Amino acid sequence: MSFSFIKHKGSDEELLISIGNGNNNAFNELYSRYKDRLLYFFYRMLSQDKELAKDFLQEIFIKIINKTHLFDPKMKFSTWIFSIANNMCKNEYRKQNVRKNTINHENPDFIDDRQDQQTNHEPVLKLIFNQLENFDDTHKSAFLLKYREGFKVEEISEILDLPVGTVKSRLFYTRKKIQENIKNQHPELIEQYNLY
Amino acid sequence: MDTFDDFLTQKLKNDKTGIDIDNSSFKHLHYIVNLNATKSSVKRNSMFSFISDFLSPRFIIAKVAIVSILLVLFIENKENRQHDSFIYHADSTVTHKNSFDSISGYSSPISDTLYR
Repeated sequence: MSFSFIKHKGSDEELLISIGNGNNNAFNELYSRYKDRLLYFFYRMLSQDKELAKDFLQEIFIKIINKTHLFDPKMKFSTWIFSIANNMCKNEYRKQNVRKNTINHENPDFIDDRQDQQTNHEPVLKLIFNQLENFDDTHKSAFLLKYREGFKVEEISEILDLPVGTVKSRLFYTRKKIQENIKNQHPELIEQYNLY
Repeated sequence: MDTFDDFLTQKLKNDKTGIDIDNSSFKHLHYIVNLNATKSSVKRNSMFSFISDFLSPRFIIAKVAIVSILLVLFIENKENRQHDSFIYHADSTVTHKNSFDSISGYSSPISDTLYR
């Protein structure tokens, strides 16, 4: 008799252990909890590249399934999974920097058109994410982990493996810079959205 | 509370990517979950299958013969070790006795001189 209609509940950590034992229901539950969150993180971190974000999402779940035994029970699952996601993005940035330098050198007419893949309809959000592209990966990830994921500063410091003070200063600087740029370039939006 | 902070939290939380994930990617992940489960159960079964094969009635005479030989060797080895340890102790007792005799032989001329 199949019990697949019974939804598997439990903490993220318990689900991970069950996945290690081949429990597909546990995997379904964990996947549904984190799919959208991770996809959004990758999408924003990887300059709104949809295909790359989907590839990264697939890759991270393959890593989780194959490495359940590497999970440190002292960490929360959410901080663990986002630290993996962050490291994947960091590695991609390094590759892209190498690729950018090589490709631009070889083909000066190369145009990176990934910016055209934005699907934001809110102009202010579009502006914010355009501004965010000017920051490095640590500033971007700290920003997303705080404002999108709602992690506390201590959790962000664990994910990014940075001191708490550094995380706080990066968050402060990113937010302040974005706010200043919006004020300078589109002062009407400050009034409209009450962005003081 | 900073209004820009609130604004960012509220707006980002509700923001969507508009990305659709196709079913084949999800099915592929299920396949990997099943594959890993199969690998670990194969590993477990291979250990148990060795024991269950050995306990099966096939070639029972040969299996009983092997176990008997191993048992005999084990018992013989144990007896030899006990025997060797007796010899060792006997030897050391003789050594002690000899050294005692030589000490007592040495001391008697001294005691004789004390009483002169």
